[in-house]
Amino acid sequence: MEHFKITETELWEYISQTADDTTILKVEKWKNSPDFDEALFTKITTIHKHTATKDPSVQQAKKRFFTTVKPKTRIWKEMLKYAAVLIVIISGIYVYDTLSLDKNLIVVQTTFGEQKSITLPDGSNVWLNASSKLSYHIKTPRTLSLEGEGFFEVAKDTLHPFTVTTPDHITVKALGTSFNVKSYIDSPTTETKLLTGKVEVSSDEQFKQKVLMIPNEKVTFYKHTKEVVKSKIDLNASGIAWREGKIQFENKIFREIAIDLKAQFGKQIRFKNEDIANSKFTGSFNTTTPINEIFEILKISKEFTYKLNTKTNEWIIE
Amino acid sequence: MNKKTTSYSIKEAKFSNLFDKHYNKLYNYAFKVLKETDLSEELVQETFIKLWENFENVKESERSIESFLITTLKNKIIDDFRKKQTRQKHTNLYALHITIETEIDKQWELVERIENIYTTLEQKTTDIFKLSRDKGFTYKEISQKKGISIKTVELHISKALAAFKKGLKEYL
Repeated sequence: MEHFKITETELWEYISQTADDTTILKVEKWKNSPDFDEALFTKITTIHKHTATKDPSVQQAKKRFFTTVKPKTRIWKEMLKYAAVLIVIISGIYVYDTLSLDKNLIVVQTTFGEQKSITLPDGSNVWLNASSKLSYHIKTPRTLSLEGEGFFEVAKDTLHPFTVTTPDHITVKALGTSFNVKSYIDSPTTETKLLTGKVEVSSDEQFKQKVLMIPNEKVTFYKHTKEVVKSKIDLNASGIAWREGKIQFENKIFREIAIDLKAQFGKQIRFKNEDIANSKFTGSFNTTTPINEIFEILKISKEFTYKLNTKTNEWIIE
Repeated sequence: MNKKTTSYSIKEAKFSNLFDKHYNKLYNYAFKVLKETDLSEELVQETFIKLWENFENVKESERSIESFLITTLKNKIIDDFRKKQTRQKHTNLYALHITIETEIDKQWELVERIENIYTTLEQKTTDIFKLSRDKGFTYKEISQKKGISIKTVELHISKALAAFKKGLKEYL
């Protein structure tokens, strides 16, 4: 019988994705062998997670700090006045010159595992979930485009409708309202959940009817069949869990859960077994929970194996 | 007038040093808890501004400044959390969260623990481990960079891992 011995340094290479093909193969063989020491593997993975650091620009932060705290002398203020005039003129010309080039498009983006809150010029608040992108033209901050998932708290302004359009041309129009729009490109559905107020869901391409929503309703658009389905939501059960740092799903098939996991952890999840992909799970996790821990817990109710293919950087579920 | 200017520049120099010393750690801690780059940056900025405003009242010892910074930052995180919570209660969305206070203290403990582990390591070991962890260099690349053998690189990594395994026992 073949025996596998793996050193911690090899494991570290594998987990920190700096290993070469020989080591990757070795570790993967080890993982599928009886010698696999799962506790050790988890330990090293957790060390890797905990030692993560971001590298912010201290210089930039310093500069910003000093401009805030330094007392402004009168001369400085005088200068500032002129500088402001100058900037207005320059930017005036600039805008005039580049109007056609869409330089006035404002884009806010999040990467995987990141969330942002944005206050729009009209006072509306937007919470942007992981792997999402929100954009609008500087002149029309109430006409938004969204890719991914966002929660909107809309400032009242009856004269100017507030609309959110998704990549599949679904438009959600609101008047003084809070709602959630979910439209990840790789997801088979686009989903709108309404919490307060009134919302109208329509599309210039996909379907003709305009769907009116009342609070605690959800409208799901199925991209393949072009079906529009309206249903009730139970806010206590799932709702907009991501806003409080949770990944939650109730009786959802694994394939759909995988889309949320990808947005959160940044790695594609591929299924090699249809039966598992279509299995339903219910669960609630903090977004800080490592993905392999989530897999471990899901495994309790339905047996499957998962492994990370470090070459393609995706999880394989069998 | 002149005196005022010089006293400002001394204070500035001190703050410049404080930024170099503490900014990274505070920012990384805030990001671990908040998971938002902009918000983390904002709260750390406000923390330093508060120190600037209260600088004359804080004892100028290493420790009291550091504890002023971390206490202020923790409070700011809690404040921010409370603000968000009020909004949530208002829209009647979520059940009340368990005490965030214990959670953020735990996170800070972890950040401190990791820093302490780094200080127990030889400088060389720390450098090599960070090249692997933060820069994503392979052992071979590190060995070429440092002019040492791959075996030696592995030895340093293995030392660092052993220290983390021991030092972070309760967290693994």
